[in-house]
Amino acid sequence: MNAQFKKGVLELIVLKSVVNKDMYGYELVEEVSKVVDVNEGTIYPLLKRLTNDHHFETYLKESTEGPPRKYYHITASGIMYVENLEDEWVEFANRVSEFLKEKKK
Amino acid sequence: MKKVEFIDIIRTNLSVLEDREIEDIVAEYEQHIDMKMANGLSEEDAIEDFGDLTELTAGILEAYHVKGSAVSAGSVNKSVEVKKGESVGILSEEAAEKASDFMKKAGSVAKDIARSILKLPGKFIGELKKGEAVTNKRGFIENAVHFFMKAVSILIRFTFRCIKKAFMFGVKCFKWLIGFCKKYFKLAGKIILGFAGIIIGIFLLFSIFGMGLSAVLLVLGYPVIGVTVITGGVTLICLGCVITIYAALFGKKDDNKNAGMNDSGSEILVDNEKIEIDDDCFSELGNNYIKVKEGVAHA
Repeated sequence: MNAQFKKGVLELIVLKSVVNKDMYGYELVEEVSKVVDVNEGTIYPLLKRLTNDHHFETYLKESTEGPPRKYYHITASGIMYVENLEDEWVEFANRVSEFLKEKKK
Repeated sequence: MKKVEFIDIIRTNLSVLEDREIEDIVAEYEQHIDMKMANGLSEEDAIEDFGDLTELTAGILEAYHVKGSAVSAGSVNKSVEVKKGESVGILSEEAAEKASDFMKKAGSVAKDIARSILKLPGKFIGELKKGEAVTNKRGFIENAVHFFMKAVSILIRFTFRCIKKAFMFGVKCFKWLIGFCKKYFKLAGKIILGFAGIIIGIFLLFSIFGMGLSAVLLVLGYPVIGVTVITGGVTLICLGCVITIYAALFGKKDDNKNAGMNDSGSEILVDNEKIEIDDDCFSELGNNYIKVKEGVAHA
């Protein structure tokens, strides 16, 4: 898949994945990889940026299978941001689809 | 690449960040690699999935608004200010413009007041020059200091008086309004007031919530001190309104001989004595009205 496409929509997918459930890094990479094929090198810096921009909060939670895990939780500001992103994406995707339909005629 | 090497490179590239941040990041990645290995991947493969390490660390530094190219083996400066992102704006453009216009007007009014106040010392100086003879330099300086202090204290007292007057006037207006409603609309007035009270009460709850929320955000480090102060002020205003309305609706005079409302809608004359049904301190205008009526009744 085109790298630029992936890059554009990655933020939206990452944020949306965490809306209903807090996740830790590894889990999140797995989830996002189901939608687009990305590697850790792309996702972790993005997580760091979203955290520093206060769209995410992180906390450590004990786990039975090893050291405590760092969980990512979406903040109110993050929810506002992702809703905006989603609207923009839907509009954008619709416009592109319309354009392509026109070109097929 | 082995895990040790991987961690070493990360630490070096991110050396410009605070130690706590670096260790936090390293711990997270180490755990990720271990989890991947637990799922069957080899150490090398797990690390390869992180891609190009220079790109990775450059991306991380970007998140801290540090230039990725600033990474160098010999960087000595370890403390970097972590720049948090900008907070979400609360006011829209128009609201902000209106607010700034109002502030400008208020500012110019304040300037006028201040200017007229500051003209007063000029008068003092004139009198000083006319009156006392300047004996020596030291005396003059003492005099100057003395009346500077005097001017400052006058200014302060004047300001307090203005504020107090404005506040009292506002309270008077509000009380008059309530008295007016009570006197001239009677039961309907009470219902309206009650309704207004409920609405303001709801508003109060929302503003308490807003104040609490912004206080929490303030503690978390968001720059929302203005919002906190404003919601706090709104809370106080709503509280004041609710209390005043409640007092207006349910307040009673101790020596009130008549407990109920008079249907004819005027004051009761008992033994030629004027008896106020409503709370006396409520409306000056109401009092004047009664006095007129009294005059008419006695006429």
